[in-house]
Amino acid sequence: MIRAIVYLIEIFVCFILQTSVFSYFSLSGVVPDCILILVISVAYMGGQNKAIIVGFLSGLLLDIMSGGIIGLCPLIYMGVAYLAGYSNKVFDAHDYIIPNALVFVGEVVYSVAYYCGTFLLMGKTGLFGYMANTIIPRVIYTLIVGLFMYPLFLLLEKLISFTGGVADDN
Amino acid sequence: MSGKRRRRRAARRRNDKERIQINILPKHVMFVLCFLCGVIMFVSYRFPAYMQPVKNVIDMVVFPMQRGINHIGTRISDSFRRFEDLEDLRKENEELRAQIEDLTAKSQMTNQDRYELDALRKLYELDGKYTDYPKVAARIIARESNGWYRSFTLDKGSNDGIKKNMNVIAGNGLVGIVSDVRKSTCIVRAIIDDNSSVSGMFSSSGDTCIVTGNMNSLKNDGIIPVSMISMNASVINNEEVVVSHISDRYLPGILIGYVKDVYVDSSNMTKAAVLVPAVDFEHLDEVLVITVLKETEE
Repeated sequence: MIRAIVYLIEIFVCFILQTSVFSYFSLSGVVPDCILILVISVAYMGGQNKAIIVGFLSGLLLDIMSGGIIGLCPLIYMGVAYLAGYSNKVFDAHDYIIPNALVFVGEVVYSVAYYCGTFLLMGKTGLFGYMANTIIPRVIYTLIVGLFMYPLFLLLEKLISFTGGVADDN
Repeated sequence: MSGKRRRRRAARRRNDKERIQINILPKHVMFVLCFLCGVIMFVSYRFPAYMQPVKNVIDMVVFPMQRGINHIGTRISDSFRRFEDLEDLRKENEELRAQIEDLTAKSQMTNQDRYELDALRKLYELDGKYTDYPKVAARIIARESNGWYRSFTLDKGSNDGIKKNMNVIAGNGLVGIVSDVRKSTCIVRAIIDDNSSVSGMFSSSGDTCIVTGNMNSLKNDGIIPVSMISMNASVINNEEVVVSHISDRYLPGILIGYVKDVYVDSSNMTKAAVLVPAVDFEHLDEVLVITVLKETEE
């Protein structure tokens, strides 16, 4: 129960960060993908099930707030969460390389999938243009922010399991 | 004895619980939620009205926070800018003073022209073309939440009389169109968005063209493509492009930008060009929503 509430708050904070706060610090027109960092962190620390649910909810929130067709974001986030969740088997609280590498790969996968799901279907070929202008800056920015955000999520996760989160199984 | 049995039963129950938990496989969760996603996608595409209450509820929670953060953020960035820009402002001030003198002289001449124009227009009964549209000022509180679309959220919604397909301007240039309305916020799709296309018109000649958004070329060169210009049209560089009369959602006469680099496109049937938007989309903060819809005008 505690875990569910903490995750919901994390989703909400990440959403606000991504849409409002980071728009003041946008570099070359991109904002870091805080929600992806959250999804990857949860996948690495908590496994597939939790990550899939977190990805679904946060993607839904993003899509609802951005207007248009709802459902693509949660789908991609869930896919990323499912794949990243396999890394939970080698989870080690002292390892910072694996989660950040996963953030990197996850953001690339997310961006390319998003491009395929929207722009390619609109007939806008030219992946390399989008690669150079949107995807690469976004991946790099997300990676940098992830370096700082992952330890925070890790700390929260430790606190949850410390305050009896072990007994509850979300 | 009974205590021991109870304990054993409790342990068995705990075991059962654990076993049930383990039995939920990630691929089952994935499958169910994917199916749910598909359903939501279908519903939001086919019956957008059903999603409206959900949107309103979430909006009610998120909107105050976004507005608060926006308030703080604007204040902070303003105070930073105040120190940075002092030198620049001084320089700019001098330039502007020179410009004012220049412009006052020009405006006197223009005034004379305008009296003449008014008189002539009355003569031809051509009023109504340049009427001032009623506007509502709004502030941008969030933008492009997924980095791909050029859209942003304003702090005015259906409570303030905003409706879908209302035009949004900033300064005197076209910004975009309201694409989605909630109770207290609305979403604006910018004309530079890849999904957007506006029917434009060269203000001097009246030749029409299509202005489409393109994020890539905007990011590289600050321009967006213009296509479907008639081969017979004579277009000069830096000519104004305004919204044409045949546009179905945009109000005619609003400035879009300035055209340049006209060339014959690959089909050899029409000309194409690029356009510098009149609005600086990178530093957009406050915009005006025109509270007149194109449909009601006709």
